[in-house]
Amino acid sequence: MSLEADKPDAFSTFRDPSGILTVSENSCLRFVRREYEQEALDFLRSSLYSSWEKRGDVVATEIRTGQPGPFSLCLEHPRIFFPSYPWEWSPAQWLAAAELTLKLCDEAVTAGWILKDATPLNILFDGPRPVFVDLLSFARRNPRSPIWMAQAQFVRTFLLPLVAHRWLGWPLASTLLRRDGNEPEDLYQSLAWIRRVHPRLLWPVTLPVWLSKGSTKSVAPNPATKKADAIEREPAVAGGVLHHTLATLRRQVRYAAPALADSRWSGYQDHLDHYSSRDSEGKYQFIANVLLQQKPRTVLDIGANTGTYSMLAARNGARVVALDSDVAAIERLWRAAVTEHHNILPIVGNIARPTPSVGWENAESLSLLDRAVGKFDMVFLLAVIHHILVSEQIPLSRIASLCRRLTRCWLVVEWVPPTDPMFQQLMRGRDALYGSLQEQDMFGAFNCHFEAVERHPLPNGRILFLFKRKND
Amino acid sequence: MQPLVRVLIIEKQLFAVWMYVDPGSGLLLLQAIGSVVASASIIFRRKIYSLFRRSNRRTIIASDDVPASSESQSKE
Repeated sequence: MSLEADKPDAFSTFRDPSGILTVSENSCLRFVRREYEQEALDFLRSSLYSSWEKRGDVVATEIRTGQPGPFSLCLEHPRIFFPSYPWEWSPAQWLAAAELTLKLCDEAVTAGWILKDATPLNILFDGPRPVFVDLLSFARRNPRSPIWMAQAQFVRTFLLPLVAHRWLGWPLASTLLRRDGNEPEDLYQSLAWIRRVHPRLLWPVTLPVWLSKGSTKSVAPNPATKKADAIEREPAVAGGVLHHTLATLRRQVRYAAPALADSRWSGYQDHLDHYSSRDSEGKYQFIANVLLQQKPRTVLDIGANTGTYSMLAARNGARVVALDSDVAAIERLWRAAVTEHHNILPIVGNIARPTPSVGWENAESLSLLDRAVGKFDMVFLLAVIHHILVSEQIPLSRIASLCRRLTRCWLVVEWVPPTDPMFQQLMRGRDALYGSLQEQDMFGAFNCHFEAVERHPLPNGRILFLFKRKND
Repeated sequence: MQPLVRVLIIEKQLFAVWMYVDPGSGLLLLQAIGSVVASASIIFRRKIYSLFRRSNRRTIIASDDVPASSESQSKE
């Protein structure tokens, strides 16, 4: 296998000078430049790497040496089922990714290695579990250097977005616009002076800003880099300092991660006033039967909330991607999936405004739909259509055609009629537009792409449908 | 090619790998200052520890000496 170097479109990453990554249908191929081959092989054949692989902390690798051309080494990794990006994670997922990065770096330091870059983009979630995927990020460390050159990147891309989220309310989704994270100056300007000297903000924000004043105006090579590069210590002391730096960062990241918060929708499942126990049981039983009969291997739960039905699907052996725009609900679902060991990937997103593709030439990270289309055996659309229809003003025919693209076979829909109190809340007086909608309107829109297999009315007026996708 | 030149080229390549990540300025300086403080504390702790270890060893040697000398005294 060789790399077609004349096809730059095939590359999905290209920033790391030691290699590039291409993604194919079933695997990811990482091509390593000849001059970095030996170091990569030493790392991959080390006991450190094999212990991480056994634990599942890093992606598995198959090594193919002796490739022709400038990329002499090829590493093949299995594809993670559904890649997610940091701007789609809840704060707890950010913390888990940061802690994994620091843990691996700490163990690497002990074994004579170090991380040369430290960004959340090195991590993917396999179900609820973070996995380190960018193996070329590990390099041999200078045993006498007590400086971690990637520390600033860790602070910019992991710590400061969490600090900004906690102290300034900046959404973590805004990291979509900043590949290399937040500069301390960005936060400093937005903080009141009293907050700038708060101990939790003094170290990651205020002191770096004060120290960098002056050096940023110079056009000469960064003096701080020169000074830091010149620092050398006895190896045991240098290692001790690095462990200390990593432990300090771990503490700072934990302080920055916000406590579990409530939101408008996070308590939805606990306060279902519009469902009687009979309604809830009927809905649960219907979906349990569908899962039992159809046995989907992959499920997309759109508007998953805290994941009652995602967990039901996962318990039936499905691999689930749970999507909801409510950060607090997704955070609860992620915690539950970790605690109960369910194969669920919760992501923050809105199906009506899906995550776009970003980066160089809009091709460095895939959009939500690029990743989701045709990937799932079954899609759940439970009590969501009225939100997409009324709040996002998407016509029923468009909702149906998107569902057709997302599912390979099954679609489970919970239809909420306009008489339902939740529908009424969303309408806010726009009865003339939506008040006359009937089950038949929904049925007509979905009938072009699906055939109804089951219909199950609930006592509260809502109706559950199992649709099967029509063949082309 | 002279070995020194080769080493310089390799060092330059390795440096290129390291420096593709922006090391920051204030954050790096802060880390450098922190590393000096942490190094000093590690060296200080080691000195204290070795001091205790040395005095401990002296005590052990001394306690080993006592029976030996008393034994030799008794033999005399």
